[in-house]
Parts: sequence; structure tokens; C-alpha cells
Amino acid sequence: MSSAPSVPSRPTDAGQAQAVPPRGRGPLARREARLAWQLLLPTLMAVSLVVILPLLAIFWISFKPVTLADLRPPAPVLRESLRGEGDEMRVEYRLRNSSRDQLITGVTLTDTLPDSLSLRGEPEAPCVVEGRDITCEFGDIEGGFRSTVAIPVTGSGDPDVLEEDAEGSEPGITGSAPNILTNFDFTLENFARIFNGSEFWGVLGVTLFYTFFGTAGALIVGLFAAMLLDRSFKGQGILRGLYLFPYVAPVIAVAFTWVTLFDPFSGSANALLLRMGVTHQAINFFGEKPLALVMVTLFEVWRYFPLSFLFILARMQSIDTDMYEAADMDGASPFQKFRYLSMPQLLGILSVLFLLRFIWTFNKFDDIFLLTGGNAGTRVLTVNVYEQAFAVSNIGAGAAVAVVIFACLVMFSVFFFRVMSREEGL
Amino acid sequence: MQSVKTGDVTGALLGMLWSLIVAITVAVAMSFATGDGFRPGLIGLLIAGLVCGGTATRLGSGWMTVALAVVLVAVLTAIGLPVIVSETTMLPLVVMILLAGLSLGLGMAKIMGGMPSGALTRHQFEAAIIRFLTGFGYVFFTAIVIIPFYVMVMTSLKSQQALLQNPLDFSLDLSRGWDLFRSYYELMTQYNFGSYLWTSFYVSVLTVFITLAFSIPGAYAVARLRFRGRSTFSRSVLLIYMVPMIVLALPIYIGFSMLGLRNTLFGIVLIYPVTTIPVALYMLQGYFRGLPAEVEEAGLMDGLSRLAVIWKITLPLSLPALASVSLYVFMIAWNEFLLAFMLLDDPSKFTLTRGIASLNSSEIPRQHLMAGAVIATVPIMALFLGLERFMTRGLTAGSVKG
Amino acid sequence: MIAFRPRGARASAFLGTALALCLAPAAMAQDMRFWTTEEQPERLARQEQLAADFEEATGIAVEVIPVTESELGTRATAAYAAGDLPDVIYHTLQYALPWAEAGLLDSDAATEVVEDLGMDTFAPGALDMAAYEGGIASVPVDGWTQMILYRKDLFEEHDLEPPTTYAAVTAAVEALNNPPEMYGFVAATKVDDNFMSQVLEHVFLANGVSPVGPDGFQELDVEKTTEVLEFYKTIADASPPGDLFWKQSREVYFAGDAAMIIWSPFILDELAGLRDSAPPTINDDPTSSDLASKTGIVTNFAGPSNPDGAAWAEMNMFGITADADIDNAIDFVKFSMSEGYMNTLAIAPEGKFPIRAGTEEEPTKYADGWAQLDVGVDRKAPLGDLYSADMIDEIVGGLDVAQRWGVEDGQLGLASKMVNTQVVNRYVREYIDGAISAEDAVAKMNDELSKVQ
Repeated sequence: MSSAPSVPSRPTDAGQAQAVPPRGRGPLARREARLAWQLLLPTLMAVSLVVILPLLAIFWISFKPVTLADLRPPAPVLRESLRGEGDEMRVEYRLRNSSRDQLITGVTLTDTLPDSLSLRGEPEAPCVVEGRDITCEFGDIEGGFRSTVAIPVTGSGDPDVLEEDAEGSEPGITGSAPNILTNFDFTLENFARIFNGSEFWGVLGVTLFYTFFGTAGALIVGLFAAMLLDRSFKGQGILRGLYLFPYVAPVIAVAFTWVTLFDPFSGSANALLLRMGVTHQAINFFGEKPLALVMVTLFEVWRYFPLSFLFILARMQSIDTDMYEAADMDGASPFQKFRYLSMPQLLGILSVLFLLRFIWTFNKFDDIFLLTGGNAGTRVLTVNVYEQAFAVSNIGAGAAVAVVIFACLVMFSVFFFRVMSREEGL
Repeated sequence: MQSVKTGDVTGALLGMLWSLIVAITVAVAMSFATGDGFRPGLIGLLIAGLVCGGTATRLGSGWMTVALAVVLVAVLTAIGLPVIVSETTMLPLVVMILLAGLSLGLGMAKIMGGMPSGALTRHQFEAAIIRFLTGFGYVFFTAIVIIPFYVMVMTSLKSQQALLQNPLDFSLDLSRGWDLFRSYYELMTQYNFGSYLWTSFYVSVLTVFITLAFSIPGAYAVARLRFRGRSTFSRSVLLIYMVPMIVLALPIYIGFSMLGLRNTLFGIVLIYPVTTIPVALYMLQGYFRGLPAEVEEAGLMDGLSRLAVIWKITLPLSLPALASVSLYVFMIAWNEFLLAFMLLDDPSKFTLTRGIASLNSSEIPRQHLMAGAVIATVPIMALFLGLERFMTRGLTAGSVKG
Repeated sequence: MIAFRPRGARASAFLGTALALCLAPAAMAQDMRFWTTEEQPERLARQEQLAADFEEATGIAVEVIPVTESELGTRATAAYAAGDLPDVIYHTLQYALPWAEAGLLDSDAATEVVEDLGMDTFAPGALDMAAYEGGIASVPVDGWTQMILYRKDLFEEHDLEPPTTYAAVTAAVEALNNPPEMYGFVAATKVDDNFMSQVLEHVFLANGVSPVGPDGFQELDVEKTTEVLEFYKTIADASPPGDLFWKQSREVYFAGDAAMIIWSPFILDELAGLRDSAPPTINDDPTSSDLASKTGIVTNFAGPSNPDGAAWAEMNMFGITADADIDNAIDFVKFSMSEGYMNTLAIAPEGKFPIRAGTEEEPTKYADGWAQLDVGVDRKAPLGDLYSADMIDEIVGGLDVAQRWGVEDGQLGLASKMVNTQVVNRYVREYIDGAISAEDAVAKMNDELSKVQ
């Protein structure tokens, strides 16, 4: 337990200056606070269940050698069948350990003989029959254990009916095995594994490239788009709506569209470039290092410039126009106005947006996963989590990468809130 | 530098650049429309731009410039220095010449309109540059937004074979009639897309309701009530908003596996709202803060309880914000892919995005995949265009002061 | 610590009471679930038919669930972890032993099926491949052998030997490669696709290179492996750009732009223009069998260090899972291997050769029936009408001598795990991309493969 760090969500002491309740809380204030907590309770519960708890779980798992199959604790597996006829008739129990290496302790089988069957001679050890109750004490069974025990029986009548009867009563089986998820052996193996490979630093580099250029690109393009639409003209609403399409459309639809468009064989982009004589060979946009990384970054810019553009446009339209009129009186040229009047006004929102988008781009998974699956040098940390956990089935390693992501995120967030408290814009 | 700042020289330079943009745009547009080869002809476009831009200031009216441009493009094409090199038939050629000429002429008339041909003031020079950039911006943005969606729709209407033979040819064979929509028909009949649509729809709607049920009281408390830890709380909401989904998806996957909630729609409906509550909370609290407190206080004076005030006063006042938040949450749930992909296995339970993911495999023709993409995109686009006001507000709500 | 259970359960109950009403499953609950990797609509329809026939015969309803082949491993492991496996999985050989060892498959049940149907009615080679702990891991259903398709007409025109050896292929590539009009070969280069694993294993086997020996892992021989790598680079360099898998290789070949490809016999029907969704585009007639008549095939392929060469076979199996309702699953598999067997094979007869030739009473019942089956999707014709008899014999005959890594040494399970890690694909790709040298590639493969347990 000690090794699982708690989630840091300590408030920074800045920004406490707003609406501080008076000291010495009166009954009214107390009632108000109580009501507030009551209103918040459902949200708090839901969020902690699905956010805080999983986060703790991730930390826990990242210190455990867990693979996907380990999620299923070892268990004794039992099959009952009625076999043979006449003198050969017997109820067979086949028991095996579902795991190949874990020991299961205290395995006991219990079952009831149906009325239509009766015991014929001695049951095989370790089974004991008392009246109609069958009990078999197998004790501890090793990994990979298999065994068949038979209980000789006689019965008369239709064999199918007898079989129904015999197999109708579900045998009970008990046994306990260590569950790797809940026991207390921890290991640093997962972290050692991910930091060991040269691969990790490559992945980190790719992540930073993608995040930085994706974010900066989306901001710059968004700024350009916002300046374009920061005026009233006919059709401005339509264009504004149109430019938001990339963001609003389902990612899976646009990602596959890009893949189709840039396909080296049947992609229109390649056909166009070949026709225009720009290239003489089809270019494999999403399958070549380093081009693939540039392409996914471009996709990121394309998909998220609308968001930047919206925020910047909203900010632009709230800038006081008096300023500009005064500047016009002084004879400032359009570029000067932009440089000395608009930019300072926009810097705040730009920095906040940059940080927010930086964090979100850092967290992006779907886009790259759908475009390249993380191949061709586009594997970022988030895709790495998926790869480790599902493609390699090593949940522990995946969790370790997730912890690394989370650590980066906390770092960014601290920085973000510093800027945020300075920048009251958001 | 000063020599540049005459109307003629500026016009000529901008003319060449604009001509390049026009040539590329028209070539690409014509290629996409006809499937024939078009490519910019460098010498021709430079000459056309130079002449048209350089004389734009001297031709009294804009129409003269446009007429000149069209004639220029036609003449250059005739004498073998085409602005756009093409291998095509007569009709597209004429259309192309008209398009290129009109765009070039109109653009230059707009950019250089009202400028003197002699020296330019700084204002005039910058205004010309800005007009040029504006023109470029419209072309650029419209192209990057429209092309992918155009390709998506057109690919979904083509047969695999036609696509392989000429990936550029998006001209529709109208003689096929209803057969054009074969992909859609097959998706609906053979691939169960009707049920995916329905699943996606009700999952999204349920997500909206649950999200609102949780986030309205929460947002109100954070916005209006004073309690210890309020600022911490509103910050941690934002922090949660920043936790990557994939980091959560892994333990959720494990937990759901153990609880038997994996591969159930119940599990999906359980998990989607949690991903949207922080966003909704954040958006709504920003809006509630902006509501005048006096109205609510008046209600309290009249002896209404807090809850009654929320119900009777705050909510009706914030209907537009609720609409925005609902739309935004609906969009998130509708577009969500990762969780659906990880948690759902059975086609009978697929959401639309999960269904499309399953089309991206093996032997399923490309046009089916694109048809699936269109099916997923159209409803959200329709919603968006119909309620653009709310959507845009929703996207920026609570994020910008004022 | 992972207190999902009590708290989670309570909370979900608390959250969910209202929802549970809305979310009652729309579909009827089925008695059993069947995963299949044959997910094309027409093939699915066949399996739905099989399920319907089975339901009619037994009253047990089966839900047929298509699973993409590349996701099968992940999905199965995940479903196993969740205790949510289907009853029966139609899977390829590479999963049989690893899954049996990991406890996903109930080998006892599979053994029971084969015993009930009669061991001797199954092809012995197939049962050897599936052997596990005295029984079998999973029930062998059908198989095919991988083939090199080549443009007979071009080979004759240029006086080239049929591509039965590395040397012959290299010579043909040199003579015919002229991109983008004609690619010498279309090699598999998409690392995460099974197709690349299959092609590479065939090319490795051809030169007698295997990562497993009698005692488990066996270092890849540097010299022989370098030959393999250099050969593969030759054909990859003569291939179109891009992450290539079966789809592009078929598209390029069908467009008449490739001299050679490696493919499974499944290609035989569309090659003859019987399928609209994958038509030959070499001429304007999508139904033309022109390309088929210009195509020759080779199943046994040899490298310089292994003159005898090797054929590579794939086998499909019905696996009965650990979570199955055993009795229903056994009934279903038995049904699919007897009354429904023709239906199973008819999914795509050109790539599904019967492993069960007949019944105890009629030993050649199914083999004979298979030979009469129509291939094709939009147009139908028996294979015999489309291809010459010796060509069909070549394809089917390959199954008797086909190999896989580890079968002879009893290490198929380990070899399958190695294949499933896709290590070989990754480093071969890095080598052909020019990112690492041949020695480094061999060293890295050895290093990673030795870690596979």
C-alpha cells in the first residue's frame, strides 16, 4: 500500500482570494455548505468511482507483474459426465487446474447422486459417497493438474434420461488460489522494462514532437482562421460552421477518410500528385518514417484548429473597438494595429489555449491509433499503453506507461494552474 | 523596398502569387470533378498573374480586370503556354478557362481595387497584402475542410473497381440510379447498421440526461454556494478533465472485466457520463456565475428554498446554456470511439463508431467504410448546422469572460 | 485494494436501476456464441445458415459473431480474462497450442469430438499438428497451402524459370521489375498483419531456417537467415511502396501490375472473375478469367541452403473454450464436422480443403463432395472448370507435405507464440527499410525470440 502514491490534487495557495466566506461560520453559512456538499455528492461519488479509483488502481497495477490472462484467478475446472453402459456405467468427474503454474489449495468437490442412479461398488479415491452425497477431497492441486475420477453406478431406463439426471445436478467445487492483483508482492519490473529499452525515449521524443507541433500548428492556423472571420459579411455564419466540421465530425470517420485519401494505391491524393507530376512514385504517407509522423501531426492541426479558432474568435469579438478607433486617429496602419493592439489582448487566451491543447494533445489516443496504429515511427505514449496492455497482453507494463503519462500530466497541470491564476481569462 | 510600393509592382507580385493559388486550386478542383489530369503550368500562370496584377490598378473598373483575366487565360492556353496544363475534352477545358480567369480577375480586382498605380502609402500597401491573405485564407480553409468530406461522400458512392482504376475520378455514373447507394443499402441490410445507429442514439441521449442530472446541482453548488474547498474543487474538476482517457480505460477495462460489465451496453452507459460530467460541470458553472444573483436572492426572500430557486428560476434562465451543454455532450458520446472499441465485442451491441471500426478490416470494400463514415457524420452535422448557435456557444461556454 | 467489487457493485446498482429498464437487451438471448474470423458477408451468411440448420436439428440457438482476424488474439485473451469467452472459436493453427496452454481451450472436449467422430476419419498430419497432452488442442476443420502466383505469360515471354527457388524469383524480379507499370513482386511489409507472418515463415522454411529446435528455442543461423533477409529485401525493393498486406498484393496483381505475389488459394475464385467486390482490373471486364489463364502457381519453394524446399500450410480449427457450455459446444462442433461439414467447406471451397475426408461408413464422402462444390461469390463454377487438373493437384497435394515451424520438433506451441509476437516481422521490416544491418537484425531476432516462453 505504501508504494502507491496518492493522487496529487492539492490546491496551490494562489487564487484563494476570491469570495472567501467570513470567519466564524454562522448557522446560515453552515447550512449553505451542507447543501453544497449534498448537491456535489452524486458527482463526487461518480467521479471518484470512475476516475480516482481507476487512477489508484493504475498505480497499484504498475507495480505488479500482471498479464492480461492473470486477471482471471486460477480456478479448478470440473466436468461431469455419465459414461459407459451396464457394468461399465460410471459418473466421471474430470478436474483440472485452469492455471499451469499456480497452486490451488483446498479443492473439494461435492455432488448429489440423482434418484435414478445408485452406487455400484467403491468410488475411486479420493471420493466418498454417503447416502446420495458425493464428496471428493483433492486437497492442493498443482498448476497443470489434471485428473479423472469415476464413480461406478447402475441405473435403468433410457440412457439419455439417465444422462440428463446425472448431469442435471451441478457439482460444487471449491478451492482458493492466490490472486496476483490483490496479494502484496510488488515489483519494479514494469518500470525497469519500459525505461530499459531504447524504445521508450524514442516514444517520448515522438510524443513531444507530435504534441508540440500539433498544438502550435493548430493555434497558428486557428489564429489565421479567426482573423479571417473577425468581420461581418454575408455568409460568415456558414463559413464559421463549415470550418468547425473537422472538429465536430466523429474522429473515426475523418481518420479513415484521411487514410483513404492518402492511400498509396487507391488514394486520390497520390493520384493527384502523380497527375500533376509532383512525384513519380506513389508516396506512402502514413507508412514511412518520418513522413507518417508529419502526417499525423498535420491531421492533428487540421482536426483541432477549429477549436482554437473558436476560442480566439470569441476573445477577438470581446475586444473593445474604441481602442482601434483611437489608433485610427493616430494613423496606425493595419499591421501596426494588429501588432500593438490585438496581439497583447490575445496573448492571454493564446497561452492558456496552448497549455490546454498541449495537455490534450499529449493525451490523444484515437487519432494516431486509427491513422497508423502507432506504426511507422508514430508511436506515442498513449498508444504505447494500449500496445503494451493489449497487443503484448502485459497489463503491468501498460499501467507503468500510464503512470509515466500521468506524472507528465501532473507536471503540466501545475504549470498550467500557475499560468491560469495569472491569466484570469479562462 | 520603396520601389515595391507602387501599385503596379505590388499588383504584379501579388498577381503572380494569386495566380499560382488560383491555378493550383482550379487544377485540383477540376481533377476531382472530372478525373482527368490537370496541373498548373508555371510559365503561363506567372505571365497571367503578372499582366493581370500589374494592370489591375490602371483598368478603371473591376469588370475590366475580370474580362482581361479571362481573355488572358484563354489566349495563353491557345498559344501553348497554358495557365493549367490539361488532358481533357472541350467542355471541361472551357469550364476550366472560365473558372481560372474569373477567379484570377475577381481576386485581383478585389486586392488592387481603388489603389493608385503609382506610389502606395503604407496603409494601402498593407491593405493590399491583407486582402491577398484573406483571399488565400478563404481558398485554403475551404479546401482543407471540404476535400476530405467530399472524398468521403464520393468514395461511398463508387464501386471498388472504379476506384482502383482511377482514384481521381469522382464523377458519378448517374445511370446507375439507386444503385449508387448500394453501399448504404448493404450496410443497413447486411451489416446491421440500423441497429448501430439506434444504439448510438439512445446511448448518447441517456448520456446527456445522466450528465445533466449530475452536473447541474454540482455546477450550481460550485458557482453559487460558499463552502470550504470550493476553489480546490473547481480546479480538480478541470484537472480531471485533463486525465487521459487511455489511462482510465485500462483500469476501467479490468474492473469491468471483473464485474462482468464489459461487453454490455449498461457498462457503456455507466461510463460515458463520467467522461462528460467534468466538462459539463465546468461549462455550466461558468454560465451560472454569469447569471445575475439578484433574481435568485429575490426568490430566496420570497421564501423559496434553494432547490426551488434552482428549479424555478435558475434552470429556466439557463435553458440556452443547457441546450449547448446537451449538444456538446451528445456530440462527445456520439463520437466516442476508444471505450466502445475496448469494451464491446458483440455486433449486437455495437455503437456506430464501433461498427465502423469493424468495417476497417479484411475483405470489406473501401466504399462500405466510407459509407459508414458518412452515416456517422451526417446526423451530427445536421444537428450542428441546425443548432450552430448553441453548438458554438457550447464549445466556448464558460471558457471566455464576457 | 482494487475494491471494485463491493463498492463498484453497489454504486452501479445505485446508478443503474433506472437504466436497467431502458437497456434490456434488444436481441434475443442465444444459447451459445460462436466466434468466426470469416467475416465477409457472404461467408457469414453461410455460417448463419449452418447455425440455423444446427438450431433446427437440436433446438440450440447459436449467435455467430464475426471477429477480425488481426484482433482475434487480443480479443480472446481479453474475453478469457473477463470470463466471457464464446463457446466455440473458429481459429487458425497458430493459436491452438498457446491457447490450450494458457487455459483458454478445453482440449478434453476437443479430443472427445474427434474420438466420437472417429480419429481415422481425420487427416493424420492435421491431428499431429493439433496434438496436445495425449489428445488434441482444438478440432482441425480445413486447411490450405500457400502459393506463389506468377504471370506464366510474362515468364514464358522472358524465358524465365518458374519461381520455385530464391534464385529463380530473383532472376524474374530483375527481368520484370519496371515500376510503376510492373512490380517484380508484392511482398508483405505490414508488420502487424498476419499475412506478413505467413509469408515470412514460408520464406524462412524455404531456406530451412527455424527459430525452434527439439529443445525449444534455437538460435537462427546467421548465414542462412542473412540469405533469407537479403532475398526478402530483393522482393521488397521490387514491391510498391506502403504497408503491404494481402489486400494490396491482390489489387496490384489483379491490375496486371505485378509479376509475382504470395497468396492463399482463396484467391482462386476472384482471380477467375467470380467476385464483384474484388474483380481483376487488368482489363475492362471484371468477370474475365483472362488473368487466371495467364497465372501459374508454385507451392513448394526452396532457398539456397535447403534444396528440397518447403510448402507452408494453414489450418483452421474449431476450438471449444474454457467458458463453453461443453455439451452444446461439442454438439455444435460435431454437427459442423458432419451434417454441416459441406456447408462449412462451402464458405470458400477454393481455400478450405477437407481435413475430414469422410465418415467411418463412407471414407471419402466429404472429399468427393468438396470436389463438386462451386467456388465464387457473384458467379459460381467448380474449380475444375477454371483451372487445369494438374494445377489443382499441385495446390491440394501441398497439404500432405506442408510444414510449419516446430511441428517436427513438437515445439509448435512455442513457435506459434513466437509468430504471435511478430518479432520476426518487425526486424525484417527494419532491415528492408535499411534501418539495421542483417547481422543486427538476426541478433535482435535471436535476442527477442529467446525471451518467448
